[in-house]
Amino acid sequence: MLSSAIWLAGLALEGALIVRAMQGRFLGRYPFFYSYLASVLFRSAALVPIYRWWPQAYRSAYWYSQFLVLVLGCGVVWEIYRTALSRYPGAARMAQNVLPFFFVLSFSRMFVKAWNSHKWLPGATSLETERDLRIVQAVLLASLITLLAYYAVPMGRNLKGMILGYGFFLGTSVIHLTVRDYLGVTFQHAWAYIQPIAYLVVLAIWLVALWFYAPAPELEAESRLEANYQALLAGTRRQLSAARTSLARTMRP
Amino acid sequence: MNPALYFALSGAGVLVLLAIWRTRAMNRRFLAGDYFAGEDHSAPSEPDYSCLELGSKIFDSSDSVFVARETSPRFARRFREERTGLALEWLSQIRRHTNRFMHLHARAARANPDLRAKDEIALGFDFLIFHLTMGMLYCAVWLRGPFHVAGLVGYSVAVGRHFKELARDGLPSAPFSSENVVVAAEDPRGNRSTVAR
Repeated sequence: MLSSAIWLAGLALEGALIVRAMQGRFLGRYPFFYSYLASVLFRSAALVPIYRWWPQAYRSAYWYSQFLVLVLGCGVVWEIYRTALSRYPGAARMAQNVLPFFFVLSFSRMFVKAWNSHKWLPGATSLETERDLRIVQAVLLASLITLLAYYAVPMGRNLKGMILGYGFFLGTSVIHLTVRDYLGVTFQHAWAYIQPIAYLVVLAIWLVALWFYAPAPELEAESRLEANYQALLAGTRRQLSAARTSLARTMRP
Repeated sequence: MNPALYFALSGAGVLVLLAIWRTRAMNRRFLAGDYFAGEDHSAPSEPDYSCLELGSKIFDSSDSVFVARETSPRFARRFREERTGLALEWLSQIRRHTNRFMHLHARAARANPDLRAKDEIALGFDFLIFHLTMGMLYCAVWLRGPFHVAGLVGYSVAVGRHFKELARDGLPSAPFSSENVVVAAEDPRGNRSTVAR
């Protein structure tokens, strides 16, 4: 009964998010995000008749669709990157250098595990594979958040909500997938509720943040900033060096 | 340790990062009305050295020696406590000063298409080292007071210099002796005086 209520609430929230975006005409502003959301909605709606009328096919349908949705979830990270850094070529260039490094770093672990597996799967179980893929996404999102915070990139309400919701989803997914994999079937009953409830929280965050279109604010002072990067870098290095020298001079006898 | 714990911790790490990010964003929005509103958004200008130059006076023990000699031990202790507070505030001011120009740098660099990732990473690394040094100094001053720390740093620099000389002269067998270095000696009252031997 409770699981059905959670499932229905999830469908309602996903539907409401898409309807609000269509009403506000900002569906096309975040195409990857809404594609992901539509795919989750379609999957949630499609799995129920499969479970009811073809229960023997449910297991494979669940996991195959789960991996498809997982791949589409990368689109959300891409959407955050694209939307946040489109007006900041300097920060975008930095992200283009840093993010592939972290991607290779986190993905190489999976690749090695898949290489050693006779089935060419990175995890011994589907749960383990999903968790490892979520970790790759989490590493990318964490690196992106760090960059956005370092460069103080201004963000609108929509983008902040996307980051908060998807970050929460990834963080909780990694934790509960790990616990489920570690404890096994004893955790299955609790997991059947924890997973969808965590996702409901995510949908609630997204619904509040994406109720209307709110892009990043325009900054008037931006045009007055230093144009020559080398001069800017030299100036900052000089200041850092001055602070360091002063500190050293103070301490030395 | 169980690998599952690492995975669970990495998930928790993402949640902590999100919490820090949201808290910082909220603080910025809260401060926007008073602190950042009056902020000059121009590129980093020439540094303001006034707060930096103050440090040598704060860490100098000569007036502490005078106070210890001329007043009661209780008064001298109170003086050292006050000076410790002042030194900590000075270190915080340096940190704020550095954070401010790094923030201005980041604001200017983020929209600059000529940005070079290598330079930015090197700068970020320098900044990180600076912060780590500041953190260690802050802890040391908080624990032992500015005069002891200045003495300790002076001693470490002298030891480093001594080893550098040893390496240069190719005399690895020469025993290290405090006779060869500038020693920051302390008198029984805890006052520092630098003695070159």
